[in-house]
Amino acid sequence: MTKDNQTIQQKIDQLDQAVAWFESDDFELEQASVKLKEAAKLAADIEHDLDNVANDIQIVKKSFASDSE
Amino acid sequence: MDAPRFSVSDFIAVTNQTLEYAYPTVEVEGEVASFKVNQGKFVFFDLKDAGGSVGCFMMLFQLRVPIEDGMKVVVTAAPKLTQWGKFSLTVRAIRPSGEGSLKKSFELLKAKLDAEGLFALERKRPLPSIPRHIAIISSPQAAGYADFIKILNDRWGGMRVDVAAVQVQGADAPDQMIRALNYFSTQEQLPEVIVIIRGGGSADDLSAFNDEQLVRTIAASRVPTLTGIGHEVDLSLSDLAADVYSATPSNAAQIIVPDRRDSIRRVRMQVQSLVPRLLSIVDQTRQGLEGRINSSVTTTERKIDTERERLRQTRRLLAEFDPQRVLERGYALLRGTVVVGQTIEIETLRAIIKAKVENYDER
Repeated sequence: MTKDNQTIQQKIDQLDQAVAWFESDDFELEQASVKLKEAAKLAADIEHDLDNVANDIQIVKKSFASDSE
Repeated sequence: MDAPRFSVSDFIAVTNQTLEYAYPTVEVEGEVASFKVNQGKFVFFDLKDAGGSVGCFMMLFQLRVPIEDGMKVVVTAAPKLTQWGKFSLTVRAIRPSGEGSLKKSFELLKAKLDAEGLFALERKRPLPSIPRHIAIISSPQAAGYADFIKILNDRWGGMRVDVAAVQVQGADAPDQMIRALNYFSTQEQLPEVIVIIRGGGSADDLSAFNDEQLVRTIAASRVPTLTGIGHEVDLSLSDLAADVYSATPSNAAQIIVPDRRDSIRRVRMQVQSLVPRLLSIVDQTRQGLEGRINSSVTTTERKIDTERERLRQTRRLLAEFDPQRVLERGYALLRGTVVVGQTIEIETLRAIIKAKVENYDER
């Protein structure tokens, strides 16, 4: 999970939707500039996250040596 | 000193105590003979070599790999003298020994589980494209685990990775891996995929992954499974039962997550492709507007021409009604009251004539 509480996948999905808007029937030239800026910001965020977010690796405390433990 | 005297029962008990003290657990290697299962519960066979033979007993549920006569095996057992005075080994675990027996056992179990449909392609589930939570079953000390984690971290971030530290080799390994699989499958927050990792090793080292119970547990897992066991040439029954198997631990890491560099390139290209797309739309819109303006001008000009033509025709029509044109065609204009005796005025093209009305008859 990234700082803004969205996963990288969620942001990538958002970017896909933003890009798809330009090809969709909802496209309006008046909004295109704003949407383009939003997509560019999203792409920059994703790139930053991909470069900087680390995996949270935890060793499970439970022992698997026997059923009782 | 007198020799100790026992009852038969005591002698058997003392002998067993002595054996238990001296050899609580032994491993014995030999060839299986007279293998049989009684009442669907009890397994009997002899273990022999060129110089001797010893009877063995075990419970069927402890038999984790297919065994048949002629196979070379290693048994983990406790020696025991039965109440009928027969010496035998009470076997806790048995595993094939030597390449031939391992292969034979592998093929027997593979055929059995395949017939049950455990390896069927229809059972395979897809792995999530980018998981947020994965579980790993491996030995964190093993090289294969280190390779997997290194490549995983290099390729992708932001995931929760839970690791069950288990033995991945030896007699206890299958049960430990089964417990870990059951542990992850019963968590409140299920991982999206369970990855079983082990680096390369000999056929004997990797034989834990051909354990029948482990293979069945993998096949029955609630959570999709991915295996990365051994090298490219190694194929275990656990691999066949998993939803997806990879050639090596490193390959497993490549399968489970995309490469962040590829994703960054894709994201950049997506946004970069929007600019020419947008410019193209602006250009198309401009061309559309110009087209509409040109069309309007053309329509207006055509309307003006039409109106101009109508005006010309109206003018021509009006000209036809000009009295001068009527006179030119030979008609005359008559002015005055047409009453007998009155004087009227007649205008022709060339003259204006005064005339008196002499007669007037209605037509």
